[in-house]
Amino acid sequence: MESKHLIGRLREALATDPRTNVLDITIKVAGGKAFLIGEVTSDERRQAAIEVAAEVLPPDIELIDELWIAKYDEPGRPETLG
Amino acid sequence: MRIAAVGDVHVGLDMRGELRRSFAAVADHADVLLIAGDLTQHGSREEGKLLAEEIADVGIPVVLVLGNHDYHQDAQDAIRADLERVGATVLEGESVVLDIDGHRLGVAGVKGFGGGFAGACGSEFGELEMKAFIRHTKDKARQLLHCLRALDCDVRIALTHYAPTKDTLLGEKLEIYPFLGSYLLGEAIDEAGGCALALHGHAHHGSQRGITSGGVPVRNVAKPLIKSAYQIFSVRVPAGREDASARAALAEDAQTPTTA
Repeated sequence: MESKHLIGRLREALATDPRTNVLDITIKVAGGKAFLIGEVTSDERRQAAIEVAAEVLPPDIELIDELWIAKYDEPGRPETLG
Repeated sequence: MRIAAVGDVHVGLDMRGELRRSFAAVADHADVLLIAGDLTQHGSREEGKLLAEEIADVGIPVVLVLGNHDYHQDAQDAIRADLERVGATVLEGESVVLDIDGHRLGVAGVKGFGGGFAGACGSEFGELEMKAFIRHTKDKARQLLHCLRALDCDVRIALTHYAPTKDTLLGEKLEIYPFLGSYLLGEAIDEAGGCALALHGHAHHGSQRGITSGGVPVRNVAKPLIKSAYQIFSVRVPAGREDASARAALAEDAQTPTTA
C-alpha cells in the first residue's frame, strides 16, 4: 500500500475506533516501518493505540511505538493582561 | 480577577482521580476555572459523570463549553446535565456573570466550529453537506456575538473550543486549519467589542498566544500544549469599571438593612 494511503487509514482508525478516538498522534511511514509519535495520558491509551494501529497495518510493515505518557499537575506560569 | 483556564482535558475512565489532583489547589490561585471543551475522550456519559465527580469540590465556580469529542456519542446533553448537577455552568451560546470581589466577570461561551480563516476558508456554497458545515459555524458565531453583546459586566471573556484566530494554530499542519477554527468566531468577538480575553482549546500542537484582528488577546489553553494543569490569567478591571463597581457596592450596602 502507498505510504500516504496507509497514513490516512491509520489516522482514520485511531480517530474512529472506540478503543482510541484519538486525533493527535503523528503517524509517519518510512523504510518499511510505521511510527506512532506523540503524547498520551496513560499506558492504557498507549496500548490501545498500538493495538488499533497493528490491526490496520499490512504484515510487511513494522509498527514502531514512539508514544510517551505525560501528566501535568502543576499550574502554568501566571500571565497578567490589561 | 484571577482566571484559571485549561482545555482538552480528555477525561477517560482510565483517569480517575487525576483531574481532582490537578485542580486540588486551583482555588488558591484563581477566582474561577474555565474549561475550553473536549472534556471527555470518547464523549460518553460515564466520562461526563467522572468529570463531574472530579470537579465537584474545586471550591471556585467552574464554567465550561463542550468540544467535538463531547459530541461523539451524542451524549452531550447528558454530559451537560451531570456537570450542572455538581454546580458547574455549561455554556453553549449562553453567558454567565459571576461576582468576584464586587466585580462582575462575564463569560460568553460556545463550542464554535471550523471553516478556516481569511483567504482559505469554506463558504456556504455547493453541496448540502458543505452548506451545512459552514452554516453551523455561522450559527455558532452568531450565538457568540449575541451572548457577548448581552453581557453586562466589568470584564468580558469569550470561551470557545474552536479557535477564533489562526495565530494560535501556528505549529499545526496548515491543511487542517479549517477544522480547527474559523475567522467568524474572531469576527464575532471583535464586533461585540470590549472583550478582555478570548480562550480556546482544540489545537494541541498550536501556539499559546494570539490576537484577533480587532486586538483582543487570544490564548490557546489546550492542556497538551500548555503542558500544565491550567494557566492562570490576571485580568485587570478597567479603571472606570472599577469605580462603577465600587459605587454600586456602596449603594447596595446603603440599601441593605442592618441588624443589631
